[in-house]
Amino acid sequence: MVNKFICPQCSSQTALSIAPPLMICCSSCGKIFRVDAQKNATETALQKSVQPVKTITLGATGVYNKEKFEIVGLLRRVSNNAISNEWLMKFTSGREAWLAESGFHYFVFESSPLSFSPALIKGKKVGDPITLGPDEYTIVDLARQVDLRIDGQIPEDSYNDQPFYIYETVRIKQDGFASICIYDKDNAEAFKGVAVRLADLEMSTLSAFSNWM
Amino acid sequence: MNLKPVPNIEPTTRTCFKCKSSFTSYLNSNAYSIVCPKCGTVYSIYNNVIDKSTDLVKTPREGVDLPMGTSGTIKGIRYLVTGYMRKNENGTNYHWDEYTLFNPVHGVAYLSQYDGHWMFLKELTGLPSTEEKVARFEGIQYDLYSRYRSKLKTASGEFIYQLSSTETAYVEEYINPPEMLSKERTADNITWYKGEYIQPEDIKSGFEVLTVPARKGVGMIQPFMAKFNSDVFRQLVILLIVFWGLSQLYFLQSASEEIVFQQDFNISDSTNKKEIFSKSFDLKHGLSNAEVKLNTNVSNNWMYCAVTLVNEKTGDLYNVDLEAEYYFGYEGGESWTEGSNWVSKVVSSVPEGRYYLIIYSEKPTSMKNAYITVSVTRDVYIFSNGLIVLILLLAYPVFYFYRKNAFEKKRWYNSNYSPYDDED
Repeated sequence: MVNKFICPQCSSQTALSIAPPLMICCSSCGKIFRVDAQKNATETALQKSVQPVKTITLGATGVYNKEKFEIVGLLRRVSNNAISNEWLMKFTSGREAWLAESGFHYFVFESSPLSFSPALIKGKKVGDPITLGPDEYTIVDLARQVDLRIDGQIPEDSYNDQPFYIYETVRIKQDGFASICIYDKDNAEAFKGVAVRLADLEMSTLSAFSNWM
Repeated sequence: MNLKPVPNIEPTTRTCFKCKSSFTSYLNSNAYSIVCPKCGTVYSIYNNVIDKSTDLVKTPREGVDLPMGTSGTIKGIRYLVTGYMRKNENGTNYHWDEYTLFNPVHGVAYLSQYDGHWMFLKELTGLPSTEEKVARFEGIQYDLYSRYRSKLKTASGEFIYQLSSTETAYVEEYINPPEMLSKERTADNITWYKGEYIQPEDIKSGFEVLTVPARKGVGMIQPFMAKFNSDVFRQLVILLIVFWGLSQLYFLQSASEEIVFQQDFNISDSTNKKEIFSKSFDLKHGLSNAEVKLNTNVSNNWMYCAVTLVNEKTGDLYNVDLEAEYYFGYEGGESWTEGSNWVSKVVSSVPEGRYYLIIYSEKPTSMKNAYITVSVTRDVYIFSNGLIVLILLLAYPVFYFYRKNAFEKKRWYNSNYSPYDDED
């Protein structure tokens, strides 16, 4: 069976890179649809993301930890003080990870979210320490999401356009980062990531940027 | 100015809703905020349209050193100037300029200029550790130089974060010239930067600008003698001293110090102030030095000898004047001595051959009998030569470190945390 999406709006076909349920932006007409587990598509009123830096584009390939991946989706998150882009990496083994950019620093988030109690961060401010699993982190940024847009394909459960708080943390004494998302007083998740250099990812798109290397 | 087309950057023209003037966006949706250079209205641009005015800032009245859109190279990496801010220390007149630089691959960097001194800064992803007046990062210690609140005075261009005209940041600066760490803290954010000193000439050549502000005083992380690495110099000096020590050890070990002549003489009143001739002796081993030593029995007295070393074959003469004086006593409950009853001098570059000595002695008439022993030692180690070499070797390093100390005092003059405060 060929996993493909036929746009109800313009009838163009797109091969599905990830399993439904998902959110997909039609590459022809730019409309965004929610595709359920039965592959039924429902049009949304969501807006397609603008294309950020062209060093990473949908369909671009790269290598991370010696495994090839392709960029299949984009979440573009705007907070009250900054912008971040999160690209969905689909590896040849079938696994997925996120390549995030913030302030033109790049991070890879591979692991599943850690369950996290919002009570643990209550009253904390930037500069305070916080424990995530066995590791100590320091809170370096607190922001509130104000806008979210997508492009390509992303898992439905990764999409959350509601305002929520994001604490960015840096691991103490060792490399490592974690984003803590506080959705409401009962729900929160933490995502651990590592910093990467764009040039080290062997992105297929970088050849066009030789003037800037 | 270098306002040439820049590859992979697609500038777009935007129109200010308020003053209707046109201006250029280089970052487009990569920027969060953009400032109308004429009226100072701050717009959000992250969705690639300027749809929302968020603030109003003052814009620079005079031209800035690196205009928006200028392309240049710093440390081998090409950057585009996309933003400018003039900030000041809250409550003071101290102000400095900050330029935002953009490279699509290497990201964002900053150039800061104060009193003609330039710093190139990049945001850190790691977190330095701090304790009292010290910060550490990647094994390097940085010393606290300043703490202050910074405030925005003027701005133009584009910024990757929400630009605020009212927000103040608490800044801590730690230095290890020519590098520094800077911590900026607002209510919702802590950002660390690592900076390094950039020579004004590198700004001029890298950005092809004709003039940059003249340097005043000593910059916070200005290196002392930029092309001269102090650590390397210090290691070189240590290496030279070690080499000097080893060479002196070698000369000491290799000096044969062979006593080739020794004879006793009784200087009575009849031989006083007269020439005495010694027996002959050989000096061997080619050209080398010879030490002539005079041992006397002077006691609270003096003795003078003019010794001439005579080559029997060539008649060449080598003169040395030797005066031994030795005094001692007991005064104020303490014993004292002065001088010595022996003295020696070294004659350098004496060829091998057969020699004898002509000794002219003079003793005070109060001294009845003087007994002297004259000896000649071939190939002796001369410490004074080594000392002169050492003094010459250390002259420049001493001058260098003296000047460096004065330079460091000037560097810390504007700091409230100067390690030199106690000295003054």
